[in-house]
Amino acid sequence: MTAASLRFHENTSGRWVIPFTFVVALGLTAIPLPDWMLRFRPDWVALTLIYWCLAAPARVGVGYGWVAGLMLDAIQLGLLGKNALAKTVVAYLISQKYLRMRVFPMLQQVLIVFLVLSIDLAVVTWIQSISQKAQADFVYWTQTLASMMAWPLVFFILRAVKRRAGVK
Amino acid sequence: MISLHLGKTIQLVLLMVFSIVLMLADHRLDIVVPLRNVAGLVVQPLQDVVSTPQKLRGWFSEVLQPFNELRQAHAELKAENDLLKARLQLFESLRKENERLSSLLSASKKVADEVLLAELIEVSLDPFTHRVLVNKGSRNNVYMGQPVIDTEGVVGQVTRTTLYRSAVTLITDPNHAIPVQIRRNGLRAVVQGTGSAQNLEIPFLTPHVDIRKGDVLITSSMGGRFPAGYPVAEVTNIIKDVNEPFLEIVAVPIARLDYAKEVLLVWPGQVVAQRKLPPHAELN
Repeated sequence: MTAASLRFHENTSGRWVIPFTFVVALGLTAIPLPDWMLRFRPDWVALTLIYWCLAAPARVGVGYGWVAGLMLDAIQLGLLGKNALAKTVVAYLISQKYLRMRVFPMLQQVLIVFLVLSIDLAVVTWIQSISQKAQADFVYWTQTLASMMAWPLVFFILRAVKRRAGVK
Repeated sequence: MISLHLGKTIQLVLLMVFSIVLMLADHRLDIVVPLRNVAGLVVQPLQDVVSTPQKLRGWFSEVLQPFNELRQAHAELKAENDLLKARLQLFESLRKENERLSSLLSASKKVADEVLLAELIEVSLDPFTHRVLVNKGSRNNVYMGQPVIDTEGVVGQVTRTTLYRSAVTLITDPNHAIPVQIRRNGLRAVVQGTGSAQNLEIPFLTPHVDIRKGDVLITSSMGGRFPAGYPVAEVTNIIKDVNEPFLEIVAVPIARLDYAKEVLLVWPGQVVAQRKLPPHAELN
């Protein structure tokens, strides 16, 4: 196989891997859980988005974030545009700083993820509180904390996926 | 993706503005309905995949049930059915009598409510709301604000519909309130969700009103959304604080919100005004 054909092969396989990981993340978000476990479910879509914004910044950016957020709104039958807006902001923040964040040690990455997801949460709750009765609750934060904890897992799994599929 | 040639910041601003417009349109107008339907169709296979394990579990537990248990369940259901039929005879004659009496009073007549069975789809929705997904949508004439009940009482109301799915907001949702009356004495009140699955609250009742522990609250048809007479909640606790102008009343939902696998969508019967009779006519 020549180098050119190899590169071609890599590109086409990579094209489907990224949307596929988002579909899996959406599915994980929709899996039914008992009430007490719901509070500790990481925001899989946001984590996947953060990973690809870091690893494939040329492909995944704010547009991807918007579409992923819109799909999240659709699957949750929520207000259309709520998560789209929040995930666009997440994608923007990461893609502005991806070069720096890539070289951070894992602990520092985890903190950045927490910060970015807090902003995500702020946007979502802000929209929520405009459209309906606000419900200030610690529940919100347990989810963000769970997402922070899940970041190393998501990072290593998606990195393995990326290497296997040869996404550039 | 979308406009790769623009700067990231411009993309961000454009998409944010677009999101906000979308949200406003979704909140206030009907023009987003086609988009919502398309989005619903796109994610529907994923919802089906995700809810499959739950479905399989239900199917297996049915198939693997021992024969004698099935026979026993069958016998019990039969007995219950006979009992209900016997009660229905009485109900039918009472309904006729009620109709006759109200026509004598030339009061308005009510056509019976129509119902449709819908299955719950085990998918978790927005974590901040108490909602469930059912397998009937606008194709089945499900509409926004439609009342939903189960065999015991009121479950909630439809708050979103796509072609084949709709979301039902439960009465325990903190944004849900439902006008009720006490079955015992007709006192009117409002039942509000609190966000906890077992607690409802009844605000704005002053200490001198006649409400007791164990009172059953039924829908009052005020507000015009829920037809009158369906059980909603049972009062479990009344806290009287002399410093507060209102009682603190706690109630539990009567519908089995946690266990329901199936719910009933209700199309309320129309209230038909009757021909006004002259006062002395047909009283023989």
